Amino acid sequence: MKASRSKKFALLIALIAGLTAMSAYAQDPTDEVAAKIDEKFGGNIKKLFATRCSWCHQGYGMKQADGPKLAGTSKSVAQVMAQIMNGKTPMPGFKNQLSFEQVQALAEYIKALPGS
Amino acid sequence: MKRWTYKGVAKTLSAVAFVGIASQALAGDVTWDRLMNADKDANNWLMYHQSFKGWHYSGLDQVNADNVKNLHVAWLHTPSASKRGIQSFPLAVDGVLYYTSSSGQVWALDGATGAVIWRYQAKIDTERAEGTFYNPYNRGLAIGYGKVYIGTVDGRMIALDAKNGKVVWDNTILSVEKGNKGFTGAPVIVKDKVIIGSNGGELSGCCGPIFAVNAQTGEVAWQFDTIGGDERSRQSWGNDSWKIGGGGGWMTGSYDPKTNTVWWGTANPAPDYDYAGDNWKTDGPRPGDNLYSSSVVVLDADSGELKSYFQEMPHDAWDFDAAPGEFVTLDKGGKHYMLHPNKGGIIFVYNADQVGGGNQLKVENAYMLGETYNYIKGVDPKTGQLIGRRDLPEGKHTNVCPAIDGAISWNTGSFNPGTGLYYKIGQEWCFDIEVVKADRPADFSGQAYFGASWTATHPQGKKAYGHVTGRDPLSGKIKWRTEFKYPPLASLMSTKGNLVFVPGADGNFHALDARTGKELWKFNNGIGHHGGVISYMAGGKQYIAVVSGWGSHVSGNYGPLFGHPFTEMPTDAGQLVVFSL
Repeated sequence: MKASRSKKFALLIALIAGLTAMSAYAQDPTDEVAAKIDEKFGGNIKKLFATRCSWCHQGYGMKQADGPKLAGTSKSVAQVMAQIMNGKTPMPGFKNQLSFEQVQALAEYIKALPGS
Repeated sequence: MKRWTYKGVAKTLSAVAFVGIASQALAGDVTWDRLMNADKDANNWLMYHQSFKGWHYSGLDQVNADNVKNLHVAWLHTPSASKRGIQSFPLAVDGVLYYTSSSGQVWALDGATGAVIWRYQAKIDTERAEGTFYNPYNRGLAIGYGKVYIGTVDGRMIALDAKNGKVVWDNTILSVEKGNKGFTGAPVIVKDKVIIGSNGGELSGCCGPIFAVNAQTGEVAWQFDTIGGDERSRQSWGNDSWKIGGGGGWMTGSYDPKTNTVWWGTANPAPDYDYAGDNWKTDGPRPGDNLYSSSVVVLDADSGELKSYFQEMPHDAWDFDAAPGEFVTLDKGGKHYMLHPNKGGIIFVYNADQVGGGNQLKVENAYMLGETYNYIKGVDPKTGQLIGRRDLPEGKHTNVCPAIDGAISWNTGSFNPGTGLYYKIGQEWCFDIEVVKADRPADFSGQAYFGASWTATHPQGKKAYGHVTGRDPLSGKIKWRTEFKYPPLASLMSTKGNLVFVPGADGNFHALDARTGKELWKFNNGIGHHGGVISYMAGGKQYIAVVSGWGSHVSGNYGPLFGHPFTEMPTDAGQLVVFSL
């Protein structure tokens, strides 16, 4: 009887953990922001971010690592675009690698990320 | 009559060399004979790996386990360029200490006092250098034939007069036409040549070359392309993906006089991470083994011909380079071994006698140094093959260990012939990652080329941590293990005085008992370390020199993982700190 009760408790904990994990995925704020940017620019902003920016900016811009957390930046869209294009040591500049529209999409994505 | 050319004037102006007043220590010439016998020359530290044995061992014992408690700062030097800390490896020749700092700055100092003898600042092509993520690292220099040699982040090699820092030659070695960019590692002198490898594992370029240049003229003597250079390599990259496959050999390798071969570790393939998952042999952005990325290559020292190789990470799906340049030569029972650490936390032990014919190296043993890994289940000790790969197909994956930063970083361990132990740092951390289908960039474009976004995390049920072990180098059997709250990232040095020096991540510089791992002394240098440590004699006194300074892709994770003191640690500072009794 005791064993059965503890089994039920373990199942309940597993269920709660599973629901929490699912809800974490469902509530990934970068997905919501990316959907709006993709609708406007017609690309796949998270793929672009992963391909070019992820080495330094973790969690699609939500986490600080070698590069700063981008969510909540105080820079304007124009300033973010300028930094993406020209870089600032040690950040490389991407003006020869990305189109103007890609830079703009990245900047608008970064500015739209929720951050405090 | 000497003709002045614009190019010549520009080169002269590009070199801002300061030469100090006389009465300084003067280094004797470093000949090939001296380099070949560096292991017997305890008073000096003549090359990156101390000698061609690669032991990072000092035969000095004036400072020892009994008196290390009295070690104190003798002098300090603060370079004017230390962006991303100092990652350099100092060298010491006849009482003169040489080292580099960020962006191609070179210093020659009096080893007893720290007085500046000369300084050189290379003028860097910032447009080219800032096109990479490796700027403005510089990890050291080579000395020989009256010259100091460095590579630069804009693809040049420069030879300076060791006495005054004036430019002897300054040559662009690395072409950007195939998407390659520059050098960050220290060169190594092998006979009449200077060897250096390029970076680029995260760029859609080719072919990650390793160069040998004439030590007197700077002309390229041979070039070995780590990817796409021969038919076997090209066949191992489906869809001609070698043209965007990255590669490189960005850390300093070594030389084995017994077989006249250069041993070099190569970088990962691009893109980092592969959405094909288990189907990597036929599908994805780079189908196949991707030779000779994440491999050890053994090259004829005179011609650059590939004598042997071993791919430590076939189709590297985790960015676990073989680029650590540490090659530890060991002779036991009539056999000649070469030990090499891989970023994936594996120590490979190769048979160093059986090289030749372009064949695979014979693995004598392979063992795990990492502790919390789950990217593989293990490694076959007889063949060195990975067991139970965890490939990462498109989508989200949690708690992949170790993280991209690896269980072993690019700095070196140390072997102590007195204790018979090999000392090595291990780092234990993980990450959550989402792998994406990256679009294929243009061939030879040299663009940033990754296939994922990730976030650093702790191993399940435990905070990220580090460890230093003292173990039998061939079997891997551990004699002692000391755990560190913050994984150290710098090189180790062991000494005849029964000490192992561990430059720590939090700024503490530790001396451990080489026999037991017990801490005997520490001093807080005030900022983390991720460069070299050496010992040398000057004026009859033993000195221990270590570089400090923080800031890199790997160290960038310490703030998010550990918080204080890393959240407040600057990434544009650092010093050379020199200790004596």
